[in-house]
Amino acid sequence: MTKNSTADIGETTGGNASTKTSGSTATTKKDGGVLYLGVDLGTSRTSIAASNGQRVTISSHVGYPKDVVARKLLGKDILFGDEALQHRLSCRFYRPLASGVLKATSNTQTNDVEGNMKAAADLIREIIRLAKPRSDELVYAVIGVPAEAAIHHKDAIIKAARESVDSVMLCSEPFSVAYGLDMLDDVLVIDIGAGTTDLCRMHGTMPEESDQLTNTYAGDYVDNRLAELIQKRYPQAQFTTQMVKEIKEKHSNISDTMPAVVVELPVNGKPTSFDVTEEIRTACRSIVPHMVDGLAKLIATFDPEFQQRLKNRVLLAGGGSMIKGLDTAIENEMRERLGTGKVFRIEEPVYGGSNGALKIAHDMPGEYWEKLK
Amino acid sequence: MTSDTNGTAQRQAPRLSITQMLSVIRVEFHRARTQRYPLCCLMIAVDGLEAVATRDGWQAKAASMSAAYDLLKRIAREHGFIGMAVQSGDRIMAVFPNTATDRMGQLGNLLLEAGRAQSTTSVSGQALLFSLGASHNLLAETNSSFEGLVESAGRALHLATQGGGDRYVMWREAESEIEALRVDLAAATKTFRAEQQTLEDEAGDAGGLQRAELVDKIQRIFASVGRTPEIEALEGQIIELAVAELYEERRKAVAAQMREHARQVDMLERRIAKLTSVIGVTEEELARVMAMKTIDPGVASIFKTVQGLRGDDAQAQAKKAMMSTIFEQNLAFQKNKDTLAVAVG
Repeated sequence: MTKNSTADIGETTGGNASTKTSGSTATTKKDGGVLYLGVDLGTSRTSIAASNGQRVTISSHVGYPKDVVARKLLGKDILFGDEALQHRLSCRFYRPLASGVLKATSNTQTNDVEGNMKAAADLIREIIRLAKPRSDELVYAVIGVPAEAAIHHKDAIIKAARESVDSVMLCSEPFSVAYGLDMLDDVLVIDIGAGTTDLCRMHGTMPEESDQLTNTYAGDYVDNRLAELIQKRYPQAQFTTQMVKEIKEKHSNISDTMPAVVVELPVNGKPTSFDVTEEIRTACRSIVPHMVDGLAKLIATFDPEFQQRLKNRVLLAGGGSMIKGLDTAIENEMRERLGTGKVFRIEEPVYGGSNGALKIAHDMPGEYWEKLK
Repeated sequence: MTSDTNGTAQRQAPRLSITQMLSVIRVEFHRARTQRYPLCCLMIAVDGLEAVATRDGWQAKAASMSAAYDLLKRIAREHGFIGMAVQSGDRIMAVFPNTATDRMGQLGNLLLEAGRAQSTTSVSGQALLFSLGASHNLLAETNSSFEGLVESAGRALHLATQGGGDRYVMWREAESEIEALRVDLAAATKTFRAEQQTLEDEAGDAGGLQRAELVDKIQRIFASVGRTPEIEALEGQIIELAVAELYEERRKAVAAQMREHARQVDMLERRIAKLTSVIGVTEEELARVMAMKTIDPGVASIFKTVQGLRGDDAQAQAKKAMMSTIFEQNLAFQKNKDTLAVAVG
C-alpha cells in the first residue's frame, strides 16, 4: 500500500542555516578529510564555494573603526561586507579591489597601498572562515584573481590565504568560469565585474596573455555613467555613488521594453520621485560597444577556420551579466559588426567563478598540492 | 489532502504518485541546500507491527500504518508543521522544509505522546506506539545529497527501534560518530579474534619453528664435545629447560598482546557508551554547551581523501595539461617569493 499527501496548514519556523563561526583553524592533526575551496575575489563581491556544501558571498568591503569610540560602538576590530558599508562613516573604509587594486596600476584613488593590501588579506581570511573549515581537515584552495594582478598583490593574497589553508593556488578568473562549465574549447568568456571586464578566449589549452583582454568598462563605469546622466537631467537631485549603485543593481535593464523606473532621491532633504528609465538603459548599454570591440579583436586574431564557432559560443559571466537584456544587446551588436553571434548567460553569475575554482581545486592532483605546502 | 482555514469548504489536492512526490521532495531539498534554510526528514515506524500482523492479520498491519499516517497528518496540521509525507510499506517518510531541529523534536514528542495516550489504536483496540528517526540537512553527510539525508533518518530510526521503540532520535554528529565507532569496534574485534587464535596456536606448540631452532642450536653445541651418558643427560636437561622457558616467554607475550587487545576493545566500548549518553542530552543542552564553549567545529567536507582528475573525464588530457600549467605557474611564483624572502631575511 502506498499513500502520499502534504500536510500544509500553519506556519513553519524560519531561520537561516548559516551561522557565524569563531575561532581559528590552526591545528596540527589533519586526518579528518580534504576540504576544497574555490574563491572568486571580485571587485564588488567575493564568493566562496566549498566541498562541505558551504557557499557564501559578501561584498568586497572592509572597514576598520577609526578610533576607540567607534570600536566601542561597533564592538569589532574589523567589519566586512555590507556591515562595513553600513558603518563606513565611522570606519577607515576600504574597497580593496576597487578599480582593480590588485593590478599594478592600482591605487589611483588612494595612496594607502598598504592599507588596501591589508584589507584584501583580511577579506580573504574572512571569506575562508565563513566556509567553516574543520580544524582536522586538509584545506586546499584555488583563488580566482584578475588575470593581470601584480605579483606583490598576488603575494599578499597567498600570504593571507596560507594562514587558513594548507595549500593555495591562484588562477585567472575568466578561466575558472569556463573550467567550471566544462567549456574549454572555442569559447569566448566575458566576465563582467565591477572594476574590470575580462575577455578570455579558450581553445582547449591554458589561455595565454594574447588570449585575454581586460578593460574598465564594467560595473563601476556604468555607475559613474548613470550618476552623470542623472546629474545632467536632474541637477537638483542629491545622491552618492553608493545610491546609484543600488539603483543600478535593482533596476538594471537594457531592453527597449523595460518597465519605467521611478526612484526617490532627496532634493534639499525632501524625498522626490525621479524617472530614471532612460538613464539606466543608456548607462547599461554604454558598455556593449566596448565589449564587442574586445570580442572582435579576439575573434579576428583567431584561426579563421574556427572564428565562426567562436562567435557562436560567447559566455556571459560575472555580476554584470545580470543586466537584463545584455545578452541580446551583445548578440545584436555582434550581428551588426561581425555578421553573427550567440551569447549564453551562465546560470549562477555570483558563484560562476567560485564554482569553477572549486572544480579546479578538486581536479588538481594531490602531489601538486603537496609541493606547494 | 488539504483543507481551508475556516473549514467550511473542502478542496482536494492532486494525488501524486510516489515518484512524483519524491521528485517534489528532492526539489525542496535542493532549494533548502541552495538557500540554506533548515529542512528535516522524519522516518516513522509502528512498534511491534509484525506482532500486529500475526495477531490480527495482514489487513491490520495496513490499517495500523494508515492510522499512523493519519495521526501524523492531524498533528502536523494542528501544530502548524508544513511538509510532505510518503507512506510505503512499513515506513512513513515525511520532509519538513524550514523546520529547525528543535521544532522537529516537538513534533516527534507530540507523536510519541499521542501514541502513549492511546489516541491511535490497531483494529483490535491495542494502542500503537511509534519509533521515530529524524535527520536534518545541516550536517555534511546530510547536506550533500538527499539520499544521505534519508539514510541518516533511517539510521536514527534504527537506533530508536534498537533502543526499545517508543522514542524519538534525531541523527546528529554524535550518532554519526557512534555508528563509525561501532564499525571500528566490529572490525577490531574480528581482527583481534583472528590474531588471538594465531597466537594461541603458536603458544600451544611452544613456538613451533622457534622451538626446533633452539633445540638444533643446543644439539650443535653438544655435538662438538665428547658424548658420555652424563653429557647426554645434561643435554636433555638443558633442552627441556630451554623449551620450558621459551614456552613461558611466549605465553607471557601472548598474554600481554591479549591484554592490549582487550584494552583497545574496552576503550572503544567506553567511547560508544559515552557517546550514547550524549544522545540523551537535549538539543537545548547541546546548544547551551556549544554556546558556553563558543565552539564551532565547522562543517565536514564530503571528501575523505584527495581527489584529482577523473580518468574517465571526456577532456581528461586537456584538463591534465591545464592543471599542470596552473601548478607550474604557481610553483614558479610561490617558490620564487620564498627564495626572495629567505635572501632578504
